Amino acid sequence: MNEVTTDILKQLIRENCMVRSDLASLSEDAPLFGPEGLGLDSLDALQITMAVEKRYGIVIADPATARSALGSIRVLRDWITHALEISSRGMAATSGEAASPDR
Amino acid sequence: MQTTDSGDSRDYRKRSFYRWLYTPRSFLLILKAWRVLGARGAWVISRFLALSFAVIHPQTIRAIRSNIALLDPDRATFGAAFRLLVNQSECISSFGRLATVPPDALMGLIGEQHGIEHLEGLRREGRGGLLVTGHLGFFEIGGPVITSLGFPMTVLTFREPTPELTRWRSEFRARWGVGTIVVGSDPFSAFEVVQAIRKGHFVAMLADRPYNAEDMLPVDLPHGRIPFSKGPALLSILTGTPVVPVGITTGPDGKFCVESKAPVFPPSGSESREEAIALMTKRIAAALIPMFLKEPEQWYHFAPLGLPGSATSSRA
Repeated sequence: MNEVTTDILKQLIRENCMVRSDLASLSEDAPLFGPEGLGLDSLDALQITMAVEKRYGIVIADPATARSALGSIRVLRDWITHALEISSRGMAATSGEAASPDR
Repeated sequence: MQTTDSGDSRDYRKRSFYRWLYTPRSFLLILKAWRVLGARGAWVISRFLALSFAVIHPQTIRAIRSNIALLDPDRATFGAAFRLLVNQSECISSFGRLATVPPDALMGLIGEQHGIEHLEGLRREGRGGLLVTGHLGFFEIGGPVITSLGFPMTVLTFREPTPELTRWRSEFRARWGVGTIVVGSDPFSAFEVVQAIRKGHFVAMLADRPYNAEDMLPVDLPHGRIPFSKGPALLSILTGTPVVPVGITTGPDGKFCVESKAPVFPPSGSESREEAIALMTKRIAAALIPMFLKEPEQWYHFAPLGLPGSATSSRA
């Protein structure tokens, strides 16, 4: 359940967002937002964070945390992995700030 | 909530009149004119501007008539379209009225109030809500009024044509304690909405003029179909926050009438997210459309709204 892979995150984005381009060929480092990347919008961002919360139990609650976590699929994968490590060490990830890895 | 320019001919923001009007200089001019000329002057100027605009822009009159025909073909007359322009001019001049009224006299501008208990009910539960309305009446006064009634309020808005006007209007709202969240340029702006909701704020947004195809669902009016934003339903479903359909119109006595409908809660059934969004959007529209029907001459749209295939999209 807590596995964090590129394929799982692509699937999560496909299921929750209005994706206009081919996700399969999307580079891990391509920006999720903006015209040079996947082109997601603000509601897509919210949907990704809600899906992450539902799947991994990690809350991304504020714009600054979201900005640092949702740069690309690689950034998101690393961010979730780090947040889960913190959580498993007993630091309850009950808020975006608490779960936010220092980057 | 994506607000990149769509290139759609419906996009009123690209019209020269809109670009001329929506500058801080124009709004300041309106405020000064109100201070100098008062209500009588505003009455005369509103009619002069509406008549001038109607003569110079016959295509806009046709568009207004086609939109009113979606509600009621019998009311889609030139006179109704002209009155709508007059009403819109008076709404713009009402910025001057709002700027000069002392805070303790604001409620003196308010006439009938219906359904405020729905907002009080949510506040008692310690929650806010999404206040969803249309381009109906002087909706800008909704923020100050709702705030004056004791409900913390934030307005969700698209970018104005210039950053200066975006800032000016945000500061104008802030005078009344109303917050502003600007969506569009920042993909993370939706998180500010979530934060406001979690603080128990009422977040106001417009639903009857979506900016692009991805953000819209068609809804039925009595004589046609129009695009409706699915953003409110999606935000509601994602955050578990109810939507409260609201409307503010100007009564015959010049006072503003406030109407709030019962909250629309996110569906709790086994629908898929897309089905839930569609269901909720239709419920929100169903609550708002009777308000448009009641005051079609205060439903401000200046480009044809009817979707292709609408019964009246190419009539009037």
